[in-house]
Amino acid sequence: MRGFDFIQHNRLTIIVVTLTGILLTAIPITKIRINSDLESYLPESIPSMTDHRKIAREFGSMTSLYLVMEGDDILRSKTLERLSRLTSALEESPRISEVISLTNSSDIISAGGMMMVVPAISEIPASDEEREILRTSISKNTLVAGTLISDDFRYALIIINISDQIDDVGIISTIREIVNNHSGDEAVYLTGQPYLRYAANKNISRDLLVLLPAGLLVMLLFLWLSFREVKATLLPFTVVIFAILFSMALLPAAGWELSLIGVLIPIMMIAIANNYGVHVVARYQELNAIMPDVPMTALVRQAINELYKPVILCGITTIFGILGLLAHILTPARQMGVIAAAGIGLALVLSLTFIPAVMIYLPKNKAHPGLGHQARGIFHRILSLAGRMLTKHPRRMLLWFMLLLAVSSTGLLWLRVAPDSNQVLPEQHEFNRAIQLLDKHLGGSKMIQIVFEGDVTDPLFLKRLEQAELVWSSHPLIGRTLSLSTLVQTMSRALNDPGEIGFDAIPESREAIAQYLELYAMSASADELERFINLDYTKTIMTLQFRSDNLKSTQDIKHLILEQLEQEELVYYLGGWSLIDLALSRSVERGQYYSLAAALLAIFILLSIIFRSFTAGWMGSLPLIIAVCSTFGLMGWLEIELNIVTALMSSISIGLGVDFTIHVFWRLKTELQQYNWNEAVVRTIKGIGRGITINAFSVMMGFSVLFLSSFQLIQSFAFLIILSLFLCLVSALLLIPCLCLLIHPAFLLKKNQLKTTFL
Amino acid sequence: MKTKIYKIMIVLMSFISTCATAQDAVTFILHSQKTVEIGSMEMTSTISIYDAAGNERRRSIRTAVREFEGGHYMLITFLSPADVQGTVLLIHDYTDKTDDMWIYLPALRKVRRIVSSERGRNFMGSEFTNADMSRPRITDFEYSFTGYSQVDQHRCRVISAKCKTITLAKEYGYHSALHHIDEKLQLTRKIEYFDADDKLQKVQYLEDYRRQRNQQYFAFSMTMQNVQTKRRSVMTVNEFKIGCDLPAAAFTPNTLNP
Repeated sequence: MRGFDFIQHNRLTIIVVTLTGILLTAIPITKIRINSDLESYLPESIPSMTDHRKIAREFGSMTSLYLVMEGDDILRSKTLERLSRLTSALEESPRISEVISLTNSSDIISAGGMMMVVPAISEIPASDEEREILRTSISKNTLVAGTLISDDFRYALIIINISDQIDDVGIISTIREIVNNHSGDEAVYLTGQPYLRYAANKNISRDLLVLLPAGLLVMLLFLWLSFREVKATLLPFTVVIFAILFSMALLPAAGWELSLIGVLIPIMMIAIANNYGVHVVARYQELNAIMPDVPMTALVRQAINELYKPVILCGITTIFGILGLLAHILTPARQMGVIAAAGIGLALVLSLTFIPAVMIYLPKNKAHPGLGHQARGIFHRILSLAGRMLTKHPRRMLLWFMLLLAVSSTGLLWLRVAPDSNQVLPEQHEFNRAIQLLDKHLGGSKMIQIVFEGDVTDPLFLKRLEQAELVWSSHPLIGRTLSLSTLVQTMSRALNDPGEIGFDAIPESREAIAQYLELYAMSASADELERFINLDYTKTIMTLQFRSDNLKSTQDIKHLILEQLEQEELVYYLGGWSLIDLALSRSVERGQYYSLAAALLAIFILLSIIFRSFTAGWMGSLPLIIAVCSTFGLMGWLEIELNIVTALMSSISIGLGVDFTIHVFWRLKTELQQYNWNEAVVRTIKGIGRGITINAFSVMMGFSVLFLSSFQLIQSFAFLIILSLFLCLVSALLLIPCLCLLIHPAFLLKKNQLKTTFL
Repeated sequence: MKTKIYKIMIVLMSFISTCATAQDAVTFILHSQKTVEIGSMEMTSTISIYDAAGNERRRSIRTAVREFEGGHYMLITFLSPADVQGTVLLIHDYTDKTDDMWIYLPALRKVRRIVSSERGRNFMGSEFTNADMSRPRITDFEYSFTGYSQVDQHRCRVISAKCKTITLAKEYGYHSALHHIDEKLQLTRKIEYFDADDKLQKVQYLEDYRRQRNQQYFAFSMTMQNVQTKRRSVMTVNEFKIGCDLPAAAFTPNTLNP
């Protein structure tokens, strides 16, 4: 084989070039940047992003953090003082654009013939009587009741608006410091996108520091237990290290950032990159056991001769399977596809060049006791048993698979897509605790902003707005709406007496509305008015606050909004992080299907080309389809949501699982040259079974370290990928041979064997 | 003994010179206020408010000011745009107590009082505050001379004015200010306003000073730039005359509703 001759003659060069290249990867690796901003994973061009940015330009930053304070009674003097001090301290911070809380909000009241815009809390109550008076006045203050303070007065909210340019670490540290400097008995919880990014960033860094060493240790242990030989352990392990370094260096070299999804890259390399080297060293050990007197170079030559085709094919199919991620909508998913494919490509090349080049220099060990013609280990006995059962009852085996598929696939009916990014952090995390409180007591944690364009002083316009608000407020999940019509109506109650025309109503004339706003501008601050309306009175913003713990509810609310807007014939655009989250969830779902379809199609085409048969294409795809459908079905049964990480599972498992099928086909094809179908199946399972089982379990072990991740999403992914791979293995080992026994596919027979068959 | 006497003399001299400097600063400020002390007047002006994006809101108003012993009265009538035309704002500006303010809304045919205890509140939604519309009380601030500056080819003395108490700072809306006063004509050309952290909040430019028949000056153009929010307001005087033809009765709330 000329290829091996090349390796043999240039082994030193190969080793030096490899080591030099890997050393050079150290440079770009130092420039890795982390990006945990999930919303940035979406393309900028999607409507919810562009509209959100439009609103931020018009009405100021839409990036907010929320501090939720929990106490026995917010109106208690000490609590109110603490709330006031916190608000003031936050206001003074140069990093914060705006702070909205109970203690700096206003009330519009009428007293003694005056319309007054007064502070919602003019002074801290000193007695119970004063407290109750304040309680009554706050309950009537539609600008704060139910949003900045809960109806039961146990929870208060401070909204902190920041500029998009402020760094997350800085702002979170600032807020933490302020809260610590103004401590008290009340519990304070922080939530908001910047906090999510901050916490996720920390966890990504922590994950890399923990998962990588853990994964490498697990891999090392597994290889040692499998091979019990130093070079057989270290050589595939070295290729894994090289693949990790190369793929991680590729990220900054390509100008990309390490995302939450990117944490999977080194683990994928640990799991996958050793596959090819494992086959080479496994075959070397088998040959050494059969032919103990043959020198090392000859053993390596034979191993490479036998394996280079199936290993290359496996590598290519894995690469193409993973490249199915290119069809994903999320940018980091596509990037991960490219990086992982490149890393696997390198591992493939090194397994076929670097490993044999090094092995030629190394001495042979004694033959592995469990191998050889008379192999008798328990593993061997299990495989033999499986082979015999299969040949006796192929139809029964097929039925079992169909039953498995039918039962598990029904779970697809309950498969849900994660509605938001809240699951990134654990449920008991402060971030999620604050969200629970917002949902339950303060109108909801999700916001949608609607900007209306038009003559905002037109009474007809405001009445249409009011009508839309009434419809939306009646929805059980919508906690609160706040708009210009709310403000104008509140003012009308202060400017008119009860019973008077105009009391608690939108004025009938444009002039009246304009004069109301003029009055408000004089009585309050410019900032307060511009929370509702832009400077030249051509745009107004409405905020809807709601709660939703599933995609369907959020979508229903969005549809309700759009329906009403069409009905009222208003010119508008929508924004808000909840819509971006919705778009992200839809992208996750769509991306999942696109990448799955792309991966399956790629595999089908490749298998058809490799074996020159469409039968090979669909037969080889079957184990993958069973594995993916069963896994998704199980997700539905176990209520594991499809999210930004679990949605990657199918492409990756397809890319990995197809290897087992190829190895089975290849071996079967070889065995059929000498034996009949039954014998060939038994020999295939006994022969290649060890190799692909070690392969499969090493991959599963590699992914198992993801259970140590700080992200629940990644832990779920670990469970699903391991399950999926296990199903791929079982399907490849049992279903493929079973189908072959039943249909005797022609592509596994040579031409003369076919003639013989037909004759 | 001699050393002791010298030390005491040095301390005394420093104190005296500080007082003298402070006194100079106060005197200078007083003079600059006198230079623009107009008394009664009538004018029409335009207030343009710009946000950071350059959007504009414009109001044309007619202002009549009449002095009386305890302060002065101001009547501001909105001339345009049409939807606020006829709105009237009446301010009784007292030197020794909180101002009274009323507004007449023609669309409602109602007069309503406005609470205006905060002189630091925005005037008509602009970057100017209510305090900018009247003379600040000299006794509310501590003055000191800080140096010189150049504002539009005018050499100016820079006088620092610090609010004496936090309450006053809250009332005025700023903690301290630097007044750049033209050395020659003693006209304020620029004022920089600072918050409690000594961060620059706003800058006011007073331009197009015109000498009036009573030899006093009046700035026909005022610009207030909010450095932090990037908003800007410009007040441009279109017509101006010394003296007010309106009777005192016109400055009472009862006459607001025609």
